[in-house]
Amino acid sequence: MMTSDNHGDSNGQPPAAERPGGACTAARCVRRTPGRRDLALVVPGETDYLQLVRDFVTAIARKMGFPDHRVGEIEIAVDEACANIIEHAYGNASLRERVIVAHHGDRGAEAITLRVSIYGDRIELRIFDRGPRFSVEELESLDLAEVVGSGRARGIGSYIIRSFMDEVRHTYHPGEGNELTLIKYLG
Amino acid sequence: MKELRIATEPTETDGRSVQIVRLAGYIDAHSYPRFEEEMLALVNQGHYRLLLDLHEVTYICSTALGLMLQLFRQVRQNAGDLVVARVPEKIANILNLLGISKLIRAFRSEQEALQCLATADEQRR
Repeated sequence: MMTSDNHGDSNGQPPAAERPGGACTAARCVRRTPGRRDLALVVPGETDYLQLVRDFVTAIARKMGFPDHRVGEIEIAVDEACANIIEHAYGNASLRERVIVAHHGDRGAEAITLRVSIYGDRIELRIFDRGPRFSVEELESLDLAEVVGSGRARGIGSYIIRSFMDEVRHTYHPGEGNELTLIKYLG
Repeated sequence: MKELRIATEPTETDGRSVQIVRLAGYIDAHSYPRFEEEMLALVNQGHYRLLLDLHEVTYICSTALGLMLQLFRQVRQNAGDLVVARVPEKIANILNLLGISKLIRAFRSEQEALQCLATADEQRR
């Protein structure tokens, strides 16, 4: 299932991507409500941090008791979502462009924030970026047979996100960025 | 683990050359350009019989899967084939869910894959 809206989430948490500040990454664990645990990871929007994101997500999913093949599905869905942000929202900027951004003290604008909520029956992953409005249509239906038959690579990532997660929601926060919520249930 | 290691070994089956490509590590948006460069170089050099050993691959992204499909079509158009061997269960699950395993054949060992490539050649003759 996939939905999209322009409103904040119902958990009272900040909608926008966080700035990493001086550190490259940050991970925190906060217990908010009984039976639920929240963790967060903030990384620069650069491809060499994707492995860190995957390691973070797979460690949590394994700890929750997801079987290996389900862990793999969560891993690839999150990786594809983050890679999509880096390529499209942040434009896969060159090293030179990144240095210029850093010198202007606005490096945090290219951060990706991943918030993970652990429930008894599911994992909820919310991915925040500060890019322009995400095109929801990119996550819409795809004829995989046509993609496979034609050897066309484009679209497989979006198909993976939509197919491998139980729920997919998109929220755009004007002036702040996108929030993509991915949910997978245990069992 | 280094992000991606690619080792290519030429071999022969039934008198025809096969390129065995042994991959180790992960293929994501960061390491993909090297994977693409090496694979395209092989095909552009006229190697149309490819065996990808995925035993030590920990992750493969959609762009790399797309490239495999693209190369599969290209080598087939040149009377070749692209097969995979020793696919980790996690990656096999992804290939199955996406329907890629219906096109690109997977084998439990490199030897089985080589035998199949030889048999396919016999059938074409």
